[in-house]
Amino acid sequence: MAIYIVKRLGEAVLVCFGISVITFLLLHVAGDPVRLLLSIEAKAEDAAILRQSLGLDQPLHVQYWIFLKDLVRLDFGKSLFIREPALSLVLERLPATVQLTIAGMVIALLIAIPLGVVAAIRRYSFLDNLCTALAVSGQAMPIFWLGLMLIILFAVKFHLLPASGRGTFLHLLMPAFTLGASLAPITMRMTRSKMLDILSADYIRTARAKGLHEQIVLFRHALRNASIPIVTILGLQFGRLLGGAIVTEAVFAWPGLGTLALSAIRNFDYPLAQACILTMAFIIVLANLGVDVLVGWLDPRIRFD
Amino acid sequence: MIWRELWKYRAGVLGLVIVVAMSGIAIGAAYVSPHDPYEQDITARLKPPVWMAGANPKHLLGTDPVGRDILARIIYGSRISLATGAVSVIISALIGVLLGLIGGYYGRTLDSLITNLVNVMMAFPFMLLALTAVAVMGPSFRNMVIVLGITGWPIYTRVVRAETAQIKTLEFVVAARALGFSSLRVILRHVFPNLFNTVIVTSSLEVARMILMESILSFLGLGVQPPTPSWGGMLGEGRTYMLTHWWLATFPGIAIFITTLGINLLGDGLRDVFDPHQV
Repeated sequence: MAIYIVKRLGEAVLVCFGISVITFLLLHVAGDPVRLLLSIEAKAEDAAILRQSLGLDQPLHVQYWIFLKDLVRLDFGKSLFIREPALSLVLERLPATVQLTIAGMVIALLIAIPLGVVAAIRRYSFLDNLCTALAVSGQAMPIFWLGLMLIILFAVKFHLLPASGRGTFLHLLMPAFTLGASLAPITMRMTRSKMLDILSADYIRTARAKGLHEQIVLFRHALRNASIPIVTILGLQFGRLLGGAIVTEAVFAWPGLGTLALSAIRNFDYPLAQACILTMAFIIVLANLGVDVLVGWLDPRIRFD
Repeated sequence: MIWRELWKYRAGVLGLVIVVAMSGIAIGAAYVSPHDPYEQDITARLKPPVWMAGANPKHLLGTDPVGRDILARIIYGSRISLATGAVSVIISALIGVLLGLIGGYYGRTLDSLITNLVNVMMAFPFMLLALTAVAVMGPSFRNMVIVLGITGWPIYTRVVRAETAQIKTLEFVVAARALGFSSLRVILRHVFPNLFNTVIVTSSLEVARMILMESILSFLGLGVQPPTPSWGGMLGEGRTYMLTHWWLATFPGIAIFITTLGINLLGDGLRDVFDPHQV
């Protein structure tokens, strides 16, 4: 197990390095921060001064080296507009995004697992077809549009829930459901197909033949084995889930990392944008690492692959 | 006979019908559309759809804040969505398939390099990467398509690499190599035809994802710029009037939903046709 974890950790470090290179290239080569920051009428001298003060007159590899050195010390520089360390701004917003993401994931699992299990048990029944139709429609649903429709329905028409912002539990409901609805379809389809595979396995027949209660067969024998691929798929979907969180935050004005990143991107506040991108990428790497370790622990065969 | 075959794949056929209809609307927008999508009618601003009180019968789905016909803008918006989906998928499939073939066929250092690059790309929040890239390059239709194209390739590489590595060990490939054919010939004539179906299925599902990405980028103001009609952009504009004029933010979303649903159904159907033993 230790070797397996060290190997995965090494890969994660490599991925983090790659991420730092791409982020750097994206912000420093694809666009010129100085040109984006100054107005069109700005004089060439002013541009040169700004370039120098931001250290952008150095050769590219020197800039990257400085960037990497700062990164290792967790120094992301200062936001160009708010004039505060980018990292503290990010950390301030992080809890809101974590809360939204976890809530979304919980809602997705609460919808997807029971429906997936029921659909598998009653295969080809009306309920199964209904679940599949729901999943297919859910996958085609633009998540931000679902958010807008929920606002029109529950905030504007029925005045049941607050339309935007963060604070009470009621504020969390619509954003979390919106985000959860984007993850639920694929989780449900995965649960259904894995349960179908497992329910036809020999050990399930044995368990039933022993006269075990059907509930024990389903939950202790079948669902527990189906949990491994479900956990794997959740890990693979985590990046997409965070991406969905950015959009969801934009729709509901949720004060998280996504809205911060969006305003940074719109204002060309590149140190802040950089900090947001790297933090999110780091969380995804960490989540994938966690899933790898969890799956390796759940299923010893994977460790020796 | 053929109808019975088709009935087996009725969801896929429904998808095909939707995709063909949407493509027809996009190509023939000038003939289908009841109005010019840019024409402003100041006397008919924010009109509701025809079935509501106070509607203008000339505007079936109502009008926007400057009096443009919503139906016309949705019809013309289909061009943006379908063009984005098609072009960005072609770009990313070309890059991804090429890298996947190289990695899977040659193995070793090249393969581990490509695999690691895929892992790095997969760890990025794709949405944030695309948003930043478009913002840095300047929001426009062209830049958006380029960005979606060059950030969307890893999924093809993953699929193609795994299959190539598997096909490479099969007898007919070993035989072709033993006959002294060049690597290029083996890859193009013997390996690639066997994963063509996989690429088609992956691409068709990716078109739907790219259309959703386009609508998100335009919704956030970083995609297609006004006044060009795009579904995401219309939703972004409609959002401001959401509290009082619900239809502005409703109909473009239905258009996105039907289109992506059709493409997904078609993609799933293609998978069933190509790979019958999975059904």
